[in-house]
Amino acid sequence: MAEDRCWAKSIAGEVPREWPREGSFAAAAIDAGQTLVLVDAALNPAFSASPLVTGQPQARFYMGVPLRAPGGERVGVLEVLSSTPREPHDEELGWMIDLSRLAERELGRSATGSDILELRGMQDTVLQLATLMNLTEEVVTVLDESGRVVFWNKRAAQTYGRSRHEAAGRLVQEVITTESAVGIDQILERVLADGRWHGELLHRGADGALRLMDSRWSSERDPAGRNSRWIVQVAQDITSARRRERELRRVEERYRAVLDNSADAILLGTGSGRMIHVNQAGCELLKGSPEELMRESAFRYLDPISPATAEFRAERARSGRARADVVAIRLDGSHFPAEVSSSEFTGADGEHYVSTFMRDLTDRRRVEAALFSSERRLRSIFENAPLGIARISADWRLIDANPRLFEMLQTEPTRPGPVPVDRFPLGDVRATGRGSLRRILEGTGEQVQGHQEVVRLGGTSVWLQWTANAVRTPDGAIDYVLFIVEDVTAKHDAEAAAAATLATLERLNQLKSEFISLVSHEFRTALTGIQGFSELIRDEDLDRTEIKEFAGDINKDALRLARMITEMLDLDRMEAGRLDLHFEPMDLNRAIVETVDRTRAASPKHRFLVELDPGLPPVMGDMDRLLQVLSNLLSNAVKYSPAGGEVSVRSRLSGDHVEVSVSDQGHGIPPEFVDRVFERYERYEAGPAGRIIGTGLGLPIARQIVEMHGGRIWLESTVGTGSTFHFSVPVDLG
Amino acid sequence: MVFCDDNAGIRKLIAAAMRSCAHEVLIGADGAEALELVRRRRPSLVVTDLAMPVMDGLELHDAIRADPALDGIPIAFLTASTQHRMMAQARERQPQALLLKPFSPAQLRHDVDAMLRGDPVGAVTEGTL
Repeated sequence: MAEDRCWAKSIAGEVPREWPREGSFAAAAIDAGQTLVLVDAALNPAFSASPLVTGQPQARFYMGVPLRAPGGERVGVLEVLSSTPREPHDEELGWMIDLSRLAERELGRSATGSDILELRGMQDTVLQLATLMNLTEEVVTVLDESGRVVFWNKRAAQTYGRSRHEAAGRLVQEVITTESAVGIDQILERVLADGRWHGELLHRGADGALRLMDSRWSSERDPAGRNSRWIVQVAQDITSARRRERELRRVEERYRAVLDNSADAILLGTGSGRMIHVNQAGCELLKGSPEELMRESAFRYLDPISPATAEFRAERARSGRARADVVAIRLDGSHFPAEVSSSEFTGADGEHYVSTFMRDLTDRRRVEAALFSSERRLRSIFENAPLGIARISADWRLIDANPRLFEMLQTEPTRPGPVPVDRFPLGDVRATGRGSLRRILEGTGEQVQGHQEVVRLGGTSVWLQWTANAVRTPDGAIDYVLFIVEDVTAKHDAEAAAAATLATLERLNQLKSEFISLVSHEFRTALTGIQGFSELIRDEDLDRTEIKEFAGDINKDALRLARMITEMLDLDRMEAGRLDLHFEPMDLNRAIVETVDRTRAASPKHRFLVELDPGLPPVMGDMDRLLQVLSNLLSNAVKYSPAGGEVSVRSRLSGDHVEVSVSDQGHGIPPEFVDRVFERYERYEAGPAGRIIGTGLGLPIARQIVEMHGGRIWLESTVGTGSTFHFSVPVDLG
Repeated sequence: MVFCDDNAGIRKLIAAAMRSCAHEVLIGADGAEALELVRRRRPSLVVTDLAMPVMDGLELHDAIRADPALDGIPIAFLTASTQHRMMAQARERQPQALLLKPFSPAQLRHDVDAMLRGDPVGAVTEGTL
């Protein structure tokens, strides 16, 4: 470069020999006094007309580093041109700067052939060194004596967040910042004074993360002797190493805390059997100081003659780990039951270790024994209780139930484990049980009681009285509901029987007073005639005919009264078994005809139909009493068909009995009353319109008589259509 | 006067007892018969038994009272009943008199005369057997 023109020499490629200074790349770089980079010169108005762009080599990319002579004169530019536009890469700039330094140094020398060879050799060495520097994991920075950056490897660029190009030539304080207490200025001072500095420096990277560097600084004499000194920093990133160390320490502290605070004894030994640690619990359990205890191997504390110990040792030898309940021996020789577990492991240092845990089971054994005995006691109560006991979960599952409950319900226990209660065929007891459970769950009752009849699977029923109690967990939630069930069938039956007896007695009492009313009415009616007619005869002047007639009426009423009294007494005697019958062979057809004739005369409203079996054999009976039966049945038929109608009487042979039937077309008797009409004092009254006069003794008397003959009396009836009374007496078999 | 009783003997006794009475005496055998007589003759007094088939004395009473044409006819009951329920039902109807069987014919004549005059008839004490 001269004042007005540029020229160039090229080993590779074609360049103009000479071109004007004005508008040249080189002039621009020199004037700028620093590296000039053009990504695409054709796009830059200052250079688009340059002959290097318009002509050969059709330059587009340009990079030029100004060169100075040792005296500081600006003498030229080290340039790279390319016909392809591109960005410079990071390395390239570094290389250009290195090359320019070399070039500047050589500018101060007269070049000889050997110089050139030396230079080439140096170039190779530098290149090799620089490559090495960039390959190392350590940060390498080289400064000149004034503290300006001469070299800055790739790791430095990463660590300090600036490229080598950016850092080159600048004061180190400007390009390396530290968050450590010691500053770069102070370090430089120390290095220049003492020749070295070593310490840790904290840097915040471009990503904001802190890095801790182990940094060594030293001042070296320039081997070439040209600059007085170099300051070299070699630093290593120890961030992760430190972190690991800290973590390790924390982990160790944590384990030590576990070790020391453990309630279990922990004995740590080497593979060779030497003990290296006994924790606090171990000292307390084995009754010795760590020093005393560590004199022996862990096996010393296990009962040597127990087979459990032998098995434990064998198992650990075989698989490297073992667990057993053994007898342990303290330092003072006392014994205790212990759970011991032991395992071998390899430490980070490659050594074998054995950790042994030991727990005193004395208390647990005692609790277990107590629990076992308590459990056995409860189980025995559960199994043998005369009460049914069941535990039902809140989700309505049967947890368990005792044999007595299954016996009560006549159902079978299913497989073990909770079973939905709905799986059992328990009928309505389920609904009630569920209702109680719900009340407990809803909190409306802590204890619910019930009493109900349950129809069992087989169809029989049982009366159960039960209590449901919530059993809660310590936090108050319902653990399960305990049902206690008692079979109160016997008690219930007794109560029901007593109640029935009472009801019968009450009814009998009521019937009796009704009967007394009825009898009283009949007696009063009969007495009315007797009193009234006799008074007329006594007080009035009557003619003889009238007197006779009234006396007849009096006599009729007196006879009626006498008959009623006889009936009552008869029934009493019959029921007491004190009435004698006079049996003789007799013709029932004749008795029927006689009774019908007598009834017909007194009942003009009714038609009488008689159908008799002419071949009827004689029966063995009391004629008077059987006439009484027929008379009662016929007068009933008339009485209970007040509107008139047909009364039919039939006789027939049925097996070895003669059967007589009396039918009417009266009101009929409802089914619920059919069985009761033969009972004493019972009388069916179908409302006020059907009010019938009578003592109600007729049918009971008929039944007594028939039964005393070894026969049977019964009734068929349809309300509104009429009734048929049947009775049978045995044929006379001689 | 209309009497009513289902027992033939008692009807005969009433007829004989009331023979000397100034009023005409008609006797029905049940409530229905008596009601017919009452409707036809509008008597000055009705004396009826209580327990009767077809239509009993209480029903006869109610039928007469339900008929505006028969308004104001005094009704008396003459009964052998001692049943609490029936007696209570009879008393509820506030009859002119509640007479008990057995009765004296002379006393009956006397009571009937009193009723026809509108005089009170001796209160009936509830009888026993």
